Amino acid sequence: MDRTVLIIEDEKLIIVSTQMVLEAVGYRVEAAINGEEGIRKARDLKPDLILLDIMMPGIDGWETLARLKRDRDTSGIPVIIFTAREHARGHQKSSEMGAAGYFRKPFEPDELIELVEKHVGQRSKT
Amino acid sequence: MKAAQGNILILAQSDAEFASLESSLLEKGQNVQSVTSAELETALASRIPDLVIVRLDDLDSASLKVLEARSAASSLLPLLDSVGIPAMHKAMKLGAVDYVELPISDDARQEADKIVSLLDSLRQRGHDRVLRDSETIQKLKQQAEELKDRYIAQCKSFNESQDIFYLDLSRMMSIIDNIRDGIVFTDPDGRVTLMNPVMEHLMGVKSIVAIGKRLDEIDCNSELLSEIATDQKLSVLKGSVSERTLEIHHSVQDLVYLKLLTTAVTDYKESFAGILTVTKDVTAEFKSEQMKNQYLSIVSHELRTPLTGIKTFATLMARGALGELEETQQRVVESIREQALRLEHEIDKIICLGRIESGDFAMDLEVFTIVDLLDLVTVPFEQAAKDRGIDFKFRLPDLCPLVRADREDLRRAIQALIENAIKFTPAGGSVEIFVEDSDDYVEVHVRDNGLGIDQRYQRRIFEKFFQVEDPLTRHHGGAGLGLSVASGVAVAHGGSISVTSELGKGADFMISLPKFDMKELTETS
Repeated sequence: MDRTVLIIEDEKLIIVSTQMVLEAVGYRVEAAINGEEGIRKARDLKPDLILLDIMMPGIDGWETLARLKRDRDTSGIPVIIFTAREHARGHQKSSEMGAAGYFRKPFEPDELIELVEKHVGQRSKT
Repeated sequence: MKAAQGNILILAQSDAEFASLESSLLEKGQNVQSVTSAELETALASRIPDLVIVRLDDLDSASLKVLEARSAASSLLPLLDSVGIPAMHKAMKLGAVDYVELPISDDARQEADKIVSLLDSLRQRGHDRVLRDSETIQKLKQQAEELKDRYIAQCKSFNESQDIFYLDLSRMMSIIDNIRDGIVFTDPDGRVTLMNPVMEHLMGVKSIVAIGKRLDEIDCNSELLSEIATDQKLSVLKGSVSERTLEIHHSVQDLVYLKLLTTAVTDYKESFAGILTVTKDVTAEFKSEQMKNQYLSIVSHELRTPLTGIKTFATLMARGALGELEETQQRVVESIREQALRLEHEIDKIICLGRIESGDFAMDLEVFTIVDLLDLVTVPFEQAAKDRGIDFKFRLPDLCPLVRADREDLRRAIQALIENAIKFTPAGGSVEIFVEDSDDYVEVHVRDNGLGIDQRYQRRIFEKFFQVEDPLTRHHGGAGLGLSVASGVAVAHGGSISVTSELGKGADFMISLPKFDMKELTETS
């Protein structure tokens, strides 16, 4: 069965490049361009992992994360915060809010693959 | 010689004894007044007699008191029933000049003669005393004149000092009034004794209303007032200086950011004189800091997002993930990737510049081992060192202690040291990275055998923008930020940075960080 990663990100460029990196190593990558769409897709697709951007139009990444963690259907999906912006105490905040990781853009393709493998692998074991 | 007329007062206690004396004295031309005990005080007050004649044994206590009170003014001639020590003592206490023993002899005229000559001698003594007194008065007048002159001179000098004092005071008050910071001073009783116009404006209360009152008695709706009162109370209790920045809602200016400094003041005798609070308006600085942070945050986002795409696509192409490339194409794609990495690094420095200023390091703390971090940090430099012909060594201990740190900040700090070492080490040299365990600290060393640093600059190299070389003629790139970032990071983590170096013999940079004790983790969880 395909392992699915959902990327919630408003920048098409990031979506496409992430898709290329992860699809090359066998992941199915779905994308949502804002928080609301992301929450909907997370419920429908039950992905193995969510990559979540912070700065998006509409509800931002923090609010999206809070809603994903409140919803019983999506609360178990590991979420990795995926941001290009400097956020004061971003790492602490994301872990307090239940995110599985905090990842700064621009990323090295290998680092992204390693991080995704780590969390998806952990999940498939449990 | 005719005797001069004297005033004689007789306290007529026993008619028989006095009648003959009185008539004899009258015959001698003396002015004699005879009074009863009840009249004595009034008679003495209306005219001062030269001589008072009384029978001492018959004196009642009221008359005795009156005579005692007047003893200095008039001479007393007591008539004594018997001459003995008690009688003489009593007579002397009343200022007796002589005495007459009773009974008065049959020849009252003879007694009257004695009294008249007594009066004459008293008068002569009085005259001598007047002469002496006038000399004394002259001296006293002279002394008084001198004293007056001295007093006038002192008054003049006092007035001059007072003028200087008031001038100085008024200057000082106008300085205080013109200071752009708010000032309020309370005395040891907590009463306001000074408040300048800036403070009046900030508190919304006139100093004329506030002076003499305790801060909590001033009737105004000022947030600042209660904050100052709190700080002043703490300052009295702890005797310490307090400094903090406050956000205050001001009636005219909306939000105002104030730095509040409260301190106990002592006078020149080192006694407690009161509490001084100074407020500095830092609204402009605060807003500019806020704008700078927003700007940096936006810039970092806007620059990093397209860079992510460029870097990822270039990496995929270089690996042949998008199809095989020709040799030239391969080189171009690798160059794109390298330039993207370089750009990323520069953006990182710009962001760091903002964080140095706000001291915003060590914000995202995680527990990890330094070895995990060094594995990642050193990778990008291996190729660069090789390209420059530098031997790049990496030595780690078997067991590496944990640290609690901001991983990204620490990565930047160590990278800055490695970058620096490679930059200032010529081909054929070596750069070595190693970790040492030192009691409560972990030490990360970056040692090279390159150009080294002159003793004079070894402290200053950690200052922002400092360059040993003249920026216009120098041979090495960089903005002079790397080492100040490394230093800021080390300090923010409770550690330190240092360098040991000799010009021409290389440098050993060391970041020392406190070890993390696993017990802390169990305690906090």
